[in-house]
Parts: sequence; C-alpha cells; structure tokens
Amino acid sequence: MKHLKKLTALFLAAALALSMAACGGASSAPASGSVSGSASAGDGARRLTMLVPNNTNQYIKFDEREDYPVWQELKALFAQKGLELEFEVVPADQYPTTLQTRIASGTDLPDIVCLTPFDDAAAMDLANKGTIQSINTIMDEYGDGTFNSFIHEKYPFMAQLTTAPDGNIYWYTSIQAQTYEDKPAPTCRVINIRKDWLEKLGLEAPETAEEFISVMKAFQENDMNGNGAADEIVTVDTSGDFFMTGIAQWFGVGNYLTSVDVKNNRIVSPWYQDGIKDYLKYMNRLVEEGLMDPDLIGATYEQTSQRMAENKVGATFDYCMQMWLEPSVNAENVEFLPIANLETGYEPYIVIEPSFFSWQKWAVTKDCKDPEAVAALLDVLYSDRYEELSAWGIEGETYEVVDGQRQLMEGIGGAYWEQNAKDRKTPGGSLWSGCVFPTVSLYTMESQFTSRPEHKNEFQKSVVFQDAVYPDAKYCYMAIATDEQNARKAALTTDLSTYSSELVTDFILGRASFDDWDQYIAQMQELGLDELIDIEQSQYDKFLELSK
Amino acid sequence: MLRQKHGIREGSRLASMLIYLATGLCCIVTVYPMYYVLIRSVSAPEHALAGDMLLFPKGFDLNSYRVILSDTTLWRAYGNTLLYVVVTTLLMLLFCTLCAYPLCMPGLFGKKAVVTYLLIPMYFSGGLIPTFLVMNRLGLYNNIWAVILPGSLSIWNIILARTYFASIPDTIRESAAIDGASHFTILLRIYTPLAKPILAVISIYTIVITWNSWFNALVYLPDTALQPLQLYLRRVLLENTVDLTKLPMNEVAEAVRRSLSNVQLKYAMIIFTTLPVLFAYPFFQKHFVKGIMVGSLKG
Repeated sequence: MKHLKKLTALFLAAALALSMAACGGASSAPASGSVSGSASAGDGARRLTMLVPNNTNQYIKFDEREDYPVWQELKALFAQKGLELEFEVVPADQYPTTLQTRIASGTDLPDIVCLTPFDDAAAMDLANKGTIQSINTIMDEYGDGTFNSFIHEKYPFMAQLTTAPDGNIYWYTSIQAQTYEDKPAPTCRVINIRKDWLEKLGLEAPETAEEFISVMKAFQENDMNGNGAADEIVTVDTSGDFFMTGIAQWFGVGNYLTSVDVKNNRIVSPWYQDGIKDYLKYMNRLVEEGLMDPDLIGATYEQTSQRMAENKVGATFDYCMQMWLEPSVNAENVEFLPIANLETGYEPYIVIEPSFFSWQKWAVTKDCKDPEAVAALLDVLYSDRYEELSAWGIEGETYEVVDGQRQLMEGIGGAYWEQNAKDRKTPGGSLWSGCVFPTVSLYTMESQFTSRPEHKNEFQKSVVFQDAVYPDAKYCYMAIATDEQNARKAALTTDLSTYSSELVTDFILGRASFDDWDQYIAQMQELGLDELIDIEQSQYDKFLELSK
Repeated sequence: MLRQKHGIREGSRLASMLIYLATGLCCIVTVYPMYYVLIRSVSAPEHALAGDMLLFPKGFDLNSYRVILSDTTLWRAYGNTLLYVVVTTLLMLLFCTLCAYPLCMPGLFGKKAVVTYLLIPMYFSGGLIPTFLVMNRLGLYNNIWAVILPGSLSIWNIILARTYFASIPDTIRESAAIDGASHFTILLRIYTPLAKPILAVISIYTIVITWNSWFNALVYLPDTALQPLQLYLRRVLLENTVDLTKLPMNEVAEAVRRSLSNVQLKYAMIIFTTLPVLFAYPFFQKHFVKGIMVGSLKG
C-alpha cells in the first residue's frame, strides 16, 4: 500500500511536469495577429516574419486589414514579387519592452524588426554585434533598382542619414517630402495667438516683442475668457534641452542646447549667442507680469491642454498649419493666428521642420536567411505604387485627381476616421504606416491648403521659401556617430541637458543672477559643452560630405 | 479618573478629539484622490479635461462607463485577470502547503540544505533576460502559464506557511499518526483547516498582487487576447502621454485627438478596475481568525 502511494505520488508529479511542457508548444510562438500577410504565391513563395508594433488608430485597425480593399491591393503587390509576410504584431505601448527582450535574448528572431525604439547608438551597437544585417549589400545584389534609386537619386537625404561610419546602411526609414510649386517646402512652428480675441478688441497682430506683451496684457485686462480672473496666458515649454519656444527665435537664439546653423555650416549653442540674455530677461518679464504660469514649466501635455480647454491660453507654440488647437478649447469661434519674426533688435528666424524628413527604423536581423525576399520587400515599399496606396489609397474610392493634383475625396481622412473604418475606405497609411511599414509621404502643400483657413495658408505661403537657420529635427542633419562619439555623447548629454534646463528655469523665475553669468558658462564648459559641440560638428561635417 | 504616567487622562475628551481629528485627516488624504477620480469620471467631458471640480462633479455624463461596458476588449481582459487570479491563488495555496508541511517536520533529512536552497533566490534572481530565455525555452512565450506559474510560487509565502505550521504542536500530528492517519490525511484534514488564518493572508496577498501585476504580461504576452486588465489600463493611460515634440506634423494631429478624447475614459477605467479589489478586502477580513484547537489533545 505504501509503495502504491509512493508510485501514485511520483506519477502525479510526472504528469504535472509533462502537462506544463506540453502547454508550451513551440519555443517561441508568434504573437497574435500572426497571419499570412499576402495572397499565396504558390510554390516557391518567399516568406518573411516581421515583428512590428500595432497601429494606434482608434478606428482603423491593422488587425482588421483583410476587410480593406487597399490592403488587398498591397497584398497583390507583394504577391507579384512572390512574397508572403507573417506578422508578429504587438501593441504599440508594449512594443519597446517586447523588442528589447527579444533582441537581448538573441534567439529565434524574426526576419524584420521595427527598430524605432532604439536610437542610432543602440542600433549601431546591434549592427556591430551582428544582430542586424546591412541592407545595402542585400539591395545591391538582389534588388531591382527601385530601392537604390529611391534613396540615392530621388531622395538622397535618406542615404545620407542612414549611412553608418563603415559605409553600410543597416536600417530603412520612413520619409516625408513636402513640396510647394514643385520645390521643397518646409512647414514651421511659431507662436499662435488668439485671432478671435484680437478681432474682438480691434487689435492688430503684434509685430514686436513689446507689442506682444501689450496684447497679452490687453487679453487679461479685458478678461477675454469671461471668468473674472486675469488668467489669460502664453504657454510655451521651456523644459528639456531645447530653446524651441517660438519666443527664443525672435531673439535669434538656437533651438536646442546644440543647434545646427545651416547658413554657416556649424554647430552652435544658445548659451554663446548674443540674444540669449535678453531672451531670458524677456521670459522673466512674462512671468513677473503674470503672462506666463511658472507652474507649467515642465508640465505634461495633459496639464497644458487643461488650460487650453479652460479657454485660458492667449498664445502658444505650435505648427503654423495646425488644426487641432481650436477644437480643444471650450469656447465658440476660436481661431489661432500664427505670428513670427517679431522685432527684438536681433535677427529673428523661424523654426523650420525640414521639408525632407527621415525618421523611424526597420532592420533585417541575423536570423533572416532569405535576402532575396528582403530585396523584394524593400523594392515594393519604396515604389511609386506603395506611396500611392499609403498616402492616397485607391483612385476613385479615397482620392481623385483634380487639375493634375491628387487630393483626398470629401469625407476621407482625419476627422472622418470613424466613418472610414465602417466603410472600409481609407488611405493605406492609416492601417500600416509608421508601424508595420514605413511612411512614405510625398505630398504637396497645395493639397494641405484646401483644408485650412485662409489666414493660415497666407502665413505658410509667406514663409515657405524662407531659408532655414536653425532647423527643427536636427538629427536630419547629422550623420551617424562613431561608437566613441556615441559613448561620449551619452556621458555628456544628460548632465548638460539637466543643468541647461535648470538654469533656463532659474533665469525665467528670477532665481539666477546675470552677474554670475560667467560662472554658469564655465560650469557648462566643465560639463563638456564644447566637447559636445565638437562631436556634433564632426557629425554635421560628415553629413555635408555625404551630401556631395 | 486615572491619570497615566504620560499625563493624559484616560477618557480625556481633548485626547479623543485630537485622535479623531488626526485620523479624520488621514482618511481624507487617503480617500480624496480616489473620490476625485470618481467625480472626474462622471463629469461632463469638457470639465473632465479641464479638471476644474473639487467636491462635486461638474455636469454629469456616464458615457465613459457606457463605452467601457460595451468594450469587449476590456471584458476579455477582465476575464483573463479573473482567470489568472483564481488559478494563481489556488496554485499558490497548493504549493505553499505542500512545501511548508515537510519543512516543518522535525528530523527531515536535508532540511537545512533545502531551506538554504529556497532562501538564496529570495535575495537575488537571474534578471530579466536569463528569465526570458528560460521561459522561451520552456515554450511559455505567449502562453498564459508564463503569467500564472511565476506568480504561484513564492518562497516568502512558503516560509510564512512553514512558520505557521511549525507553531502547530507536534503532538497533534503524532496523535493522528497513532490513529493511522497518513501524511496526506494529516495535511488535508488537520493542518490545512488549522492554517486557515495564514492561508487567508496568503490568499489576499496573492489576489492583490496578481490583480495588480502587469509586467510579466508585458514581457511574455504580446497577444492582446491573453493580456490582463492592468496591461489594458496601462495601454489606455499611455496612449495619452505621447511626447508631441518628437512627432512630425502629420502624426501630431492623430496623437492630439487621441489624447483629448480619452481623458474622461481614463478616469472611468481607473474606477472600474479598482472596485473589485476594494470589495474583496472586507470579505477576507472576517477570515483572519485564529485557528481553533479544541479537544485536539487527550490527557
């Protein structure tokens, strides 16, 4: 009896162990959404597995892609190349963790991963370890020329920004290219002021920094939001390592701790520039006169959007062509007017977002054994047809051609996503761009004007061909750093950024004295400001060299 | 009235008032944030965004709760969490009793070595990546057991149970053995009923920890159909905290729209996911009683 009980106990333990092992199945099972992504191409189909984040559109979901005609069109493109794609789709918020653990484990990697959560330094580290393969060697040998032509001839900035110090390209990216009258046309970020409040008071848009303060004071004195308090303010973000407030630009001050001066081909720091002291004094004045709330320094977007919702924001820093601020205010007939280049005695400039923009990353991992499939994929993703399906969709369904210009049809896009999801009619970009596949956005400013009010269009037209001075997205002007440079930047940037942003805050709040200016600069030099400038100068020089 | 050495009279009204005041303040400080979330979740959306209420909601709108109740993803996450909580708790109780019972036996061969072996992982573990590799090799990636199994074995709880079992007099076990009871019978019929207090404590700890856990699901469960409620809640909250300065203009519009539309929903979701735990505590309180050892010893 005793033996029987022992045997029974052993048997139960073994059964438990076996059942746990059986539950596991494959050693690394693909995640949900793992579906063969294209029509079967018959025998000899080339398969690629892709680990990608899910799209975040509230209504148009990648998981429901099979119901969308635009997805079927894209599948047909892949099928023509004999491609079958399997997706491991992970929710976007979870993706960085999933990616990092999968990459760190180094085993059973999918063929393609979206590497966007990794910065250039971390991505280069993977390249050096052999975790990701070079793309240029694959495309040179197996591509049909579409991808190579795209990145070297049509949009060479993509090659300039993705070429590593060893001459290889290890990831492909999203790109945006904006034109007006067939010329590169950037958009910009400036101070946006309440146009409806100006009109109500019969005031003109301010043209000098002093007029700006007068106008903001008039907003308060006349209690424009009608709540009985003088709480109409200007909201700009002065935290972080950047001086990109719209107001700093009136004083000719660079927009980051280290900014790219594209006119003179050099890297500069606002701390060494002429207008910095007067800019900080001006910001202090805004605080002292109650026109800026110090509680909002370093605030989250939700905190500042609360003020917007409460109709307390008289001016803020945002894109000149934006259309999202107005609906967020709890008031009628709200309009924002972009203003720029206010006179301060210094040479002002506007923060230009480059017309040609490259961001995000996808890479081929070491476990990919079918380079021909990779070549086929990239030749599709950078083809004209892919761009058409992503940005515009299907002609006659989601877009039409008017006077030679493509434009989205009435009821398609942004404000109509909920209905578009029900109708299954959308440009493909809403389904897959920026997450599963790269965004390839080549659009004209003219198509943007059709959906904006005239005062914003006029402003955009007036600045569209202004030369950039210190452009936004400075990484678009930096070649990839070497490993040593990345290590030094990592060591320097945190302390410098923290000190710089704290010092800006202290000056704005009146806690720092200009009498101690030299000490503050000396402290930043000790923290390595000059070394950081030198490192980024070499990156910029490399970028310029690759541009030739 | 008696006057104590510290000078406070027993039954002093002033002392009572101060105590009531202090505890009242503590209650307000503890409860108010939850109350604020509640009133913000039922206020009109524009006021929910503005956050301009203090004691009472402004406007009244239950639309967020309607959205929540009709959200199948949330209900599936709820169901997943209930499954993980129930299974993890049952397994925890099973493993704790099975491990604690032999460890409280006097004279067990190798007891010291086993206890030492158990204590070492309490101080440090292999880290995330080695654990991920082990889980991957066991085939537990994207599998519910990746969330259940790690949560159902706790050395701390084993030690708690062992300590409690050790406080039960040996004579009870010996007298049962004399009467012909096997170890399983003694464990099932004597030790487990007597250990109800500690098992209740272990249960409530496990329930709360499992209910609130999300990290293992984040790492091992990319499939949204298997994810628990807290991960779903985290997703909703994170969707509102995108850094707009890092996006190009054509992506900002969608991010802003998402951010502004979900504010009220976020607060409603917090209330919805916290209520079960709030309700569970009172039910377990009455089980925190000492075991009864009546008539267990003869002579």
